[in-house]
Order: sequence, then C-alpha cells, then structure tokens
Amino acid sequence: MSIARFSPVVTLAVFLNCLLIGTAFAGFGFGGDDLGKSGLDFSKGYDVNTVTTVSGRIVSSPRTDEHEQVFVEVKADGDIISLSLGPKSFWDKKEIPLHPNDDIAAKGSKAQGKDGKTYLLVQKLTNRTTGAQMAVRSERGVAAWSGRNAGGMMFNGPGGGMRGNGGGMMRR
Amino acid sequence: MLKRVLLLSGIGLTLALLWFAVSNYRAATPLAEESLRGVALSISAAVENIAAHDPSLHSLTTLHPKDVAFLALLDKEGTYRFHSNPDLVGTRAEDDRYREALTKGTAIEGRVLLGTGEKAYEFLAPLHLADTTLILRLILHTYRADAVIRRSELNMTIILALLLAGWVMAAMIYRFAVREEMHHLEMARQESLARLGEMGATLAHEIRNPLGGIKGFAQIIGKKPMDTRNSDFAGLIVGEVLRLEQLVASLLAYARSDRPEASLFSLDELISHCVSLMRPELDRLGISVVASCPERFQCHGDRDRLGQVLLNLIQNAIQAMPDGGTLSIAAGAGGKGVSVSVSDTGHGIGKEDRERMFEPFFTTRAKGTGLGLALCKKIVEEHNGTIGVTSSPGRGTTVSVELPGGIRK
Repeated sequence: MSIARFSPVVTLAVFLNCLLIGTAFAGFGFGGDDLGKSGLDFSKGYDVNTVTTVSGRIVSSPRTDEHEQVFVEVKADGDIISLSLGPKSFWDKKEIPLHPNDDIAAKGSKAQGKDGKTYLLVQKLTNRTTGAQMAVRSERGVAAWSGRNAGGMMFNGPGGGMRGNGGGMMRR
Repeated sequence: MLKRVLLLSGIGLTLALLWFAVSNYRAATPLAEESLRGVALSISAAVENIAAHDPSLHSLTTLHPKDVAFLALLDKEGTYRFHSNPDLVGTRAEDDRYREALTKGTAIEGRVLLGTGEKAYEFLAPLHLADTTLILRLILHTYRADAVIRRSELNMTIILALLLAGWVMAAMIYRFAVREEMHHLEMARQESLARLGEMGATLAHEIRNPLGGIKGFAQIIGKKPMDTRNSDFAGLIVGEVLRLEQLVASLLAYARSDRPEASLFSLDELISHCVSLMRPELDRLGISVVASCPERFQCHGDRDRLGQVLLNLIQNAIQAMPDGGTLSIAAGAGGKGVSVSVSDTGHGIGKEDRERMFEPFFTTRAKGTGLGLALCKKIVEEHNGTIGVTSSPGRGTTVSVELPGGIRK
C-alpha cells in the first residue's frame, strides 16, 4: 500500500479526532462564553434568591483577577469565599482599607463557579475592624459602576430580578 | 497483506476506544443528574419533616446543606412562605414554573441559569403538609455532582489525544519504513548495476579483441574467396560480428561510470542531426517526421550522451513503425527545465512490457540487446533528469525526458 493510499485514512482519522476533541473541550468552559474560568458574570450578574450575609476574616489582600475584577478572600465558617468587589477602576475610586485578618461582614449574592470556588457578589461590605462601610451594588443587584441609579444605591426592597433590571429569575 | 491487517487492526482499536470514550462521556450526565436527584430527594425529605413539625417554618433556617444555592417554599398562589433569603419571604415568585409541579403532583427537575451566571440544578416538588400543600423550590450547586462529567471529558480528551498521537506516530513510522525500504531497494539496484557494469566491461574487453580478428579475417575471405559460396558466408560472419560489436559498445557505454561532461549546446541542432542520421531508414519505411523545437534553444548537458539518448529513442520509434507512420519530436521549456518527447504511431507497448522496458537486457525483439532504453535511463538520471513512457497499444508510444535547468535562449 502506497503513501498516497494511506494518507486519506490518516487525514480522516486526524480530522475526526480534532472534531471530537473540539466537542470534548467545549464543556470545559473556554469555548462557549467569555465569562472567565469561574463562568460567573461579576460585571452585571446578581441573583436576589441567593443573597446571604457572610462574616469572617480576610485571608489575603485584595487582588485583581478575571475581567479586571477585584476580589478578596474571606474565611467564614471554615470555608474560603471570594468576595467580588467590582471592577478595578471602581475599587480604586471607592477603596476602603482591607487587610488580612480584618473582621468583615458582607452581604451579597452567593454563587459557585465552574472552578469549584465559592464567590459572593458583594452588595454591601462592612469592615468591622475599621468600621468602614461600602455599597457595591443596590439591593436589587444593580452595580454601582453601571451608571444606573446614579446618586446612590436603591434600597427599595426585594423582588427585583437579576442582571440589571431583571427579567426572569432564572432560565432553563 | 500484513500492512492491511495492521491498518484494519488500528482502525478497529481506534473505533473501540472512541466508542468507549463517547459512551463513557454520554453516561456521565445521567449519573450527575442521578446524584443531584438523590441529594434533592434527601433534602426534600428533611424539609418535609421539619415543615410537618414546625408549621411556622422557622426551623428551616437551621438547614444549611452544603450544595444548596437556595431553598424556598411557595404556596399555591406563588407567594414565598419560606426562602433562604429572608427578605423574599412574603413576596411572589417571578415565574410560574412551580405551577407545573403543583399541576402534575410530582417533582420536576432541570438545569437553570441563575442571575449570577451560575448553572445550577432546580428541583420543584409538592410538599403535602397536614393543612396545605406547598411547593419546594430547591436549587443545588452542581460542581461536585458534575465531577463525573468533568472526569469523563478529561478521559475522552486524553483518549482522543493519545489516539491522535498514535496515528501521527504510526504515519511517521510508516513513512519512515517506506523510505527505508525504497532506500534499500535503490542501494540494491545500484549494487547490481555496478556488478553488471564490471562484468560487462570485462566481457567487452575479452570479446572485442577476438572479434576484431574474426571480422578482419572474414573480410579478407570475403574479398578473395577460395569458393564462391565462401563470399556469402564471410558476409554473414562480418554482419554478425558487427552486431556483436554494437552489443559490446552498448555494454561499455552502460558500464561507464565517469560523470557526463556538461556544456551548453543547441537542442534544435542536436535533434536535426539525429534525424539526419536516421533519414535513410525513415525514408525507406515511409515514416514522416514532425519536429518542433524553438530556434537556438539551448540545453545544458553532455551533448554526446544526450544525443545517444535521442538516437536510441528515434531508433525505437522507427522499429515500432515497420509499415510507416509519423515520428514526432517535441522539445522546449517544461517540467523541471527542458522537456523532450519522442512519439510514434506504431503498435504501442503493453502494460507488462512498459513496467520492465527500462531494465537492462529486457527486449521484445529477436535481435535486440535490451540495453538501449536502460542506457537512456542511466544517462538521463546521470543528468538528474527523469524519463517516462506513455503508450496505448495499437495507437503509439510517447517517451518523455525531462532535464533540469540550463535553458538559455
């Protein structure tokens, strides 16, 4: 059998392999969206259903991670939770001092990323050590850096949707 | 046969591994769903138990299973009677999917996208309490349950990558083996040609001198025969000696190992020269000649040896047309540099003969030496050129020679 007869078989095998590898990788989260490794929308995402309050100690200084978002890690009830504090440009303007071992309380929408980490999309942050407070989002989850609700956060109660001004709570 | 068996085995193994990987991948999602359903049913039972003992539902606030994103209980109007976010207690649900569970009376489940961008698992089930029926809305994180899916994806990726690497390596090994085999064949051919050349040179040397004597004496006998019949016999001896001398000359030419002396020469003049040498034979057999070559078209190579190639090809073409025909010689720029083709309208060559026609001593003629085309091939290859033949039995043959570079106009 000559190379000329063998080549189409090899080409077909390589093509099928590439096709299936593409399918396999599609589920790993680096092909379908641009939400980063966590798969969460830190910019506009929020869900009032998962709002909770977290209290604990800061374990690391604020850092800038995916999509230029600022995160700080807090140890609460034995779990490490990454608090999403908004984009770096926003944080640089509104920064309140956060240091390791500071005792803080944060209210926000809790979510688990595709990387297995637990995140809190912070709505309100209180540094109990220094007494400083900061509103990052409205109670409906509208981001302070989005330009809407200029003049302050909205505290007009629950019932809003998520992703800005809502829509459905969830979608299948 | 062995190659075919190996290839089929490889394809079979590949298909088996692909089937394994794909079936493993496809089985992973139902497994994850089953795991999530089990967790949801456990939590559902716990919630039902707490709700049955505490109608105020306050005790549910102590329930914090690890994978729960949120937990809520709705009444038939869609109002949250309990929610893990206390702010939502008393508000109405934004959607009415709960009604489906209420209507069906059984649990419904599926994947949903939360406002945070998280893909979660939703479980809706009616809870039948003593005085009312509530709907449990349970949203679970899927990361731990989906570990089986991620593992199957990883396994499939590894298997596919290994298969790809295996096929690429197999292709490379196959290519290497083919090259090695061709190299060995070429080496063996060169070795046999060298031996043939040595033998030919020795034979030629040993035969040529006696032949000279035989021819001389036969010519003398032919001029002054003792008997009139001897004159004819002497003529036959001289004729056969001349044929043997031609064979010896061909053998010596084939055995030559010195490199060709390359120079620029006019190809159209060489073609005219060769045709003029063969003109008597061409006229005798009624063969017309059609030659086309650009004027002053120059070629780089050993003029004498390439002339010998052209002469041999023309002779072969003439011998293929004993009843007349057309001899076409076309030359010009083409292929790797210079292209020359010699065509006849003779009887053509069969496929089996075509495959062997460049082998030394292969001939289909009773008095042929079998060295003409072998010598042509040797000379062309010494010029780093190629020679090939196309033929249709009954319609004619074309021998094409391509020589690299050296075109000057």
